[in-house]
Amino acid sequence: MSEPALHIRDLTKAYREPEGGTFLALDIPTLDVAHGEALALRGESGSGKTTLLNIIAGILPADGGVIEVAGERMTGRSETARDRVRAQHIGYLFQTFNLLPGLTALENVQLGMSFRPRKGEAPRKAAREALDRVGLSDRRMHKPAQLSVGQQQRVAIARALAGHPTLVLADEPTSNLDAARAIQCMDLLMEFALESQAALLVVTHDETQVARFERVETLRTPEGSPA
Amino acid sequence: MTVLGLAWRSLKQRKLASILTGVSIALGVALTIAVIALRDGAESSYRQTARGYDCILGPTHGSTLDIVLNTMFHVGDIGGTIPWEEYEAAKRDPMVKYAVPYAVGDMFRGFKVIGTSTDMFRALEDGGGTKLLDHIRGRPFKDGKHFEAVFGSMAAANTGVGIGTRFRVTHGVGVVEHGEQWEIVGIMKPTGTPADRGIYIAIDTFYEVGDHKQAGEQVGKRRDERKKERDDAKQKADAAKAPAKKDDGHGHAHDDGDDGDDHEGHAHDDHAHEEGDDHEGHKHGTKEELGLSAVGVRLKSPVLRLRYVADVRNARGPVQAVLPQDKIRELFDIISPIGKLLTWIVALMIIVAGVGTMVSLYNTIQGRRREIAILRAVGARPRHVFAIIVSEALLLCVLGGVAGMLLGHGTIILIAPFLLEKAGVFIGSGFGTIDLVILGVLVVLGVLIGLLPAWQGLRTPVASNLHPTE
Repeated sequence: MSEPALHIRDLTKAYREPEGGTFLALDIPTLDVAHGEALALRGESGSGKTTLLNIIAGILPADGGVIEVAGERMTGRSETARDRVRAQHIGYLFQTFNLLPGLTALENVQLGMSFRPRKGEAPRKAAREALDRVGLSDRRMHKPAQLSVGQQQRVAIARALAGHPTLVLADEPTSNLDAARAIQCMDLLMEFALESQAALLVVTHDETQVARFERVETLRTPEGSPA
Repeated sequence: MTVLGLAWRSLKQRKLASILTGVSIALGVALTIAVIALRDGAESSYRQTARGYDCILGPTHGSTLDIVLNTMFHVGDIGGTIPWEEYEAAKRDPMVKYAVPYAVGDMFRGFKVIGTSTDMFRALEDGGGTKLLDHIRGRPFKDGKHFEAVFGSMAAANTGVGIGTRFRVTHGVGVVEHGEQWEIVGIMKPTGTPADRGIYIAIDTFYEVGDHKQAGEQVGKRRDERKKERDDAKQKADAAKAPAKKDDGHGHAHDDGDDGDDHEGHAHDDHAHEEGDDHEGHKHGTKEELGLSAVGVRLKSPVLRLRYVADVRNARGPVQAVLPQDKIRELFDIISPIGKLLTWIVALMIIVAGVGTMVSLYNTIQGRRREIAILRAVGARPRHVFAIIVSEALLLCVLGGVAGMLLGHGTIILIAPFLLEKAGVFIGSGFGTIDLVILGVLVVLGVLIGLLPAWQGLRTPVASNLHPTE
């Protein structure tokens, strides 16, 4: 585990403007997150926080620079290769939970491990344990519509962490929850990530949540970009 | 979660649309199965049954196809009779193994009553080669004047009779019953042949029916009257001829000769019963007067068929020999192309249903962009998304197809008794090669119709569909 869970160097991402030309959406000289470390990433709206998470996850390609997750390169590789690294090493937690409505809580959690090249622990068993861990043992067979918002977010946390990923990316994970539930949810996420020795990178606007992190980075809009 | 599992969940999520598309495929498959089963079943049943006799003797003025259908399938009417002596002659023929008489015309609760001999149970077999004799529960009737009967399985089941039941028959489809009663001494187990819907009585008892005797007597009386009229006319002609010859010499004699030729010609054109006129001195009973509907002939070897037919033809008697297998082959040579065309038309329904499924799936992709993006975000590669959507098409086709097969075979099972009753053919239903072929076609079709929606799914942008709020 000598290399960091996440290593970023000279990362850039530019977008084409409708009227021609490009603007720089992201410019990160360097960013490392160690295993078991939790990092809060804040930034003003349009600073490229979600874009950064999508590039780290390999959903969007970077234009330049290097990203390594668990020592495996994400940049300069094919979409299939990035998909494989994401499936194996990354857990992604969304603001809108993104649970599949047709699947039960257990199946949604299991889904996160179904596409891993090396499945390791039996997905169903791991999913059950993850749901136990987030306190939803009695809601395994419920579909998302049958769960409260807080319970849905806990299922999403279980899905992100059940496969013991190297890196957990969380995009505004508590913005849909009330203050009390937001604290509970973030506690759960940080504890679960720490237990798994996963690096946790959380994008949030919520200063209350930011204050709970030992390490906080601010993402600034690159120079020359439209504010 | 496997790809197939995810595809299944996705179909369940869109239950109504999935059921409707599945039903359209099921209907196409059911129709195809039913048409193929009917087409092949009817042909095989007809061919199989036609193998029962090498040859059938029927009236010369009857349609050859009617003779076959009436004798072997108990369908339709021959529209004439043949002299009893032809049956006797067939029995004596050294080439013949079994000569089976058929006399029809009476009914019992909608089922034909056939006067025959026990040789019928020896000559005919079911599809598996078991003689009808071995299908009889109880025993066969006794030949001769024993009022006993054997029922086919369907006739027994539909009339609600059992061994020991006594019954009366009606003439044709009328309601007036003959006075005689028969006792059921045997009921055949289902044979899957037209024999299942027949009621068989000893032919001698057929002629013992009072009404038949009366009919026979009337036929005999009419014959005697016509014979007397002809004799009188001949005597008058002879009486008139004698003085004329004296007066005029050979010119009139020539004319008389012509008249005589015409007269003989009329006699030959008369009905078959009148052929009995030649057998003066025979004792005429009902069977001789009424004759038979047909005689089924089983030869000692099938290779004798052509020789036997030639012998019958050369005898120039009042019967014609029909080869049932040839007639049925001719029949199917005519109707087979129509059957094949019909099969292709209904098979086209499967293709149409497949295209409908493709359109339905294609349209759902637009509404499933987020689902696809989530799958990709949690690690599904493009090939997984592709496989899930193709699997959905495959599941719809295969499950719809299996439902269609059950529906098709179920329909055949339901209508089989009706077909046996009305058309004399037994259509068996069971899963076979054709089902495997259709299943194979559906698998290929499923993959093909899944390609376009799957390709559409692959083009779904992930990032923009993951964060709909941004």
